[in-house]
Amino acid sequence: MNRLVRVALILAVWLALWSEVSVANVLSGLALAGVIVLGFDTWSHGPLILRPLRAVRFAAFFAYLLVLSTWAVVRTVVAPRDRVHTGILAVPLHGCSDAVATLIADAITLTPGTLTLEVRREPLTLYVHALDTRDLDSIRRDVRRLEVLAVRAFGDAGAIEGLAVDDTTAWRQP
Amino acid sequence: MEYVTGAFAVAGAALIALAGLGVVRLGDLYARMHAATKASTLGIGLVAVAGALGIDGGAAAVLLAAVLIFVTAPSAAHLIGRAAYRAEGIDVHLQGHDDLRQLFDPSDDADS
Repeated sequence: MNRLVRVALILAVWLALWSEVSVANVLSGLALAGVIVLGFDTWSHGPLILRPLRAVRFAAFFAYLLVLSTWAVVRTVVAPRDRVHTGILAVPLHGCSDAVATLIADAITLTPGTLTLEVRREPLTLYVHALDTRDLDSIRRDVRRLEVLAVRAFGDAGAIEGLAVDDTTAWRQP
Repeated sequence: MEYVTGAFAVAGAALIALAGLGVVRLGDLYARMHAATKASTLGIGLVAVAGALGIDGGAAAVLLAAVLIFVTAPSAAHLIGRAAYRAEGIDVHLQGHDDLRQLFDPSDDADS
């Protein structure tokens, strides 16, 4: 099942590159996908999970944040403000697979005022650079919200259980 | 329709230009990266939408390129950020909170 999903993904990319759905393209894409999936079986990030509705919700929230953060950057570039409160804070994640953690780290980088700098395992922790660290809790809440949406869309059962481990009121101190 | 395509292309190009201006104007490495990653990613997305609308038969390839930019730009930023923190002599302008410091200074409660 997992392999079929990957074959479908590779085929979709192949067809997009050709920008044309023809018999020859589908057949050559299937052959290529077969070689990649069988010959280079390096997928070690656990099963692919996708809950379409949740994924759309994550994508919508992500797009909203991307627009917000672009606006913030435009404002800063046009009128630079004092940056005396930049800093780095640790944000723990719970039970995410590597793939979901990557997604969350990417989303943090593209959202307002934050940039992922470092990832550590055991415990899985993201180190996030923030332009304004005067209100640490609000940054943690934002990251938490991304984590919840990403895990609900793409996480396995363990990661969803991990969501219950703590909330912003009982945040593990780094 | 031409106007819609043009509007997307101009808006996207303007954002990329602003991101470039930000790299020049902002004072330290991390602030520059904030400008370069966010604004230019959305800018490239908008230009890609314009391309998808305006190029006959090329929509899927252009949108695929945009998706790849969205996935890879943050990863590149992550690597630059990591390297900058470790390197000496780069102004990263950290004046507030810093949780990352304890990872590099074993005397400072590293196992917490």
